[in-house]
Amino acid sequence: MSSWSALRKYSRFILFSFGRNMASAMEYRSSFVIQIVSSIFFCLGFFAGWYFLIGAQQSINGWTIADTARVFAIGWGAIDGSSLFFYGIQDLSVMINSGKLDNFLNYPLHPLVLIAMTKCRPSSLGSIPVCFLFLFVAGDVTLLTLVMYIVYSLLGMIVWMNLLIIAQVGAFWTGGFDRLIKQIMFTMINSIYIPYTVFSPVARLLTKTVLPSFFIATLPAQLLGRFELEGFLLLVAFAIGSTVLSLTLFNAGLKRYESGNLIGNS
Amino acid sequence: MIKKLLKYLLIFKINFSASTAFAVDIIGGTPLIVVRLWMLSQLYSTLGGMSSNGQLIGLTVEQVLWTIMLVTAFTSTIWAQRFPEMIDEEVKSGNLAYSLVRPFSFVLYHYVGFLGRAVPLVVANVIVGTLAALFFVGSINITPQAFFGGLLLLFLAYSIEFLVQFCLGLCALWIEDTSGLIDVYLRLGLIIGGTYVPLSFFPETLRTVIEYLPMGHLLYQAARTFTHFETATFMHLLSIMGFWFVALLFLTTWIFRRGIRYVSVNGG
Repeated sequence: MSSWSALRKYSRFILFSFGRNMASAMEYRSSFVIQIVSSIFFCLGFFAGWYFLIGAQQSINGWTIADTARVFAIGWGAIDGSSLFFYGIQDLSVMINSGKLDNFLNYPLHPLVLIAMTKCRPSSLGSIPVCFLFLFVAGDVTLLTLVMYIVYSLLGMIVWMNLLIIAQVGAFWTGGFDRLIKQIMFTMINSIYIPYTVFSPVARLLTKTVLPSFFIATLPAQLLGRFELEGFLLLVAFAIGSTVLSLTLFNAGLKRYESGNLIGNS
Repeated sequence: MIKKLLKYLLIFKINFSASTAFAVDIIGGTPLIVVRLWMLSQLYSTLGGMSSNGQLIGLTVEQVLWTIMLVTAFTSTIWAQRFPEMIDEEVKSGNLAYSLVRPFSFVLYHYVGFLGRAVPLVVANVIVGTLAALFFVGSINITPQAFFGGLLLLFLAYSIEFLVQFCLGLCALWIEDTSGLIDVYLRLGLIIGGTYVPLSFFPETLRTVIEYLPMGHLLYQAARTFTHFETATFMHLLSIMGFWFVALLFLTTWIFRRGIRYVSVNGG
């Protein structure tokens, strides 16, 4: 199969599954609306909290509220963008632990894509438009920056998805991994919002290696503020590298997977 | 009476044991509190350095970071439990009908279970968080008053959190899918819960309004009482939490009694 037809097949599957997931989420209309509206208020409220902290100082080691707005725009665009389409990936470790991967191994599509498309997070429909609002708060909005914003958010999204997979495939080797995964996610998200300029050299190294939140939002936000070819290439390289690593680890872990014999039960 | 107490004590013990079954899950979560505290310590130390008296809104940098450490330790146990989803699932799956015929109070069963699952996680988080706070920012003075006052508020805060979450879960009897409401509740906790930006940094008017809410900030108030005890503030918070505890107890009982009318048991 050519790569073009494979791409078409996956794209069609993703669009079809997304449509079904959204239809399923809309079955409970009140909940659907509540989630979207609450998401908008959450984004604004959360940003307000940081505004009270950072805005009062004008600048923290050169970091202003515009930088925070830029990081929020890209960070949320990447994380909530992935949740909107591929929320199922967050259950990967649970599925591995409970032996529920069986159903995803019998189709002519990669199991990760199938797992990712098991559900969507409709609340992201509320937060993504707010990301564009943050972009306006950051200033310098032109057609080019809007296009670049989408490109950086997509790259951030790829990195975030890969990190989620890498963090969760550990469940193939050790059980009871769920809480640790949530903590890793929270910590990674945490470090995105903290002004990068306050970090010590060791902390900066940490955000580029063990908890690479730097590549999800900080670097893309820096590039959005001021483009540098070197930084852009680094981001693309990290996105490709993390994709290769996550797929390799998942495939290696799959060889250790023990079936829960749940075909037909889920 | 003693038999009844023993029954709930056993339920507590079962949930406690279940919570400690996966050692990697408990121990694995704690180093990340350390990382979080380490990163936030850099932010608040920088802010403290920028302030003329080294203080932040009347608190020392040490007090701010110890508060964040404690509130993180308390709240992460709430998030880890996914309790409203448990009730929601019990309602949707129909298991509620089976629970109702068992020889225990449905509300008390879940309350004791909620505490049983929370205790080991809180203890592990606080021990590791304390060591991290000592390492990154040094010690603070916690008086016996602050300790016992904080403990009382923590117990009330957990009880109120349970009642609110229980009510949210029971809403599944009317609206079928409660994930929207649960989302609102958890997100409110992220905004005003003090895990990122302590409530003390919020404008005073907003802070006053938040103080009267029965959710979101309660664990922060308990954490702040541990690190910065003021008798007047403590009494104020105790009266607010006491009021909400009693009010929510009545509300929960009322919702539960109304809700179980919708439960229909089918044989098979």
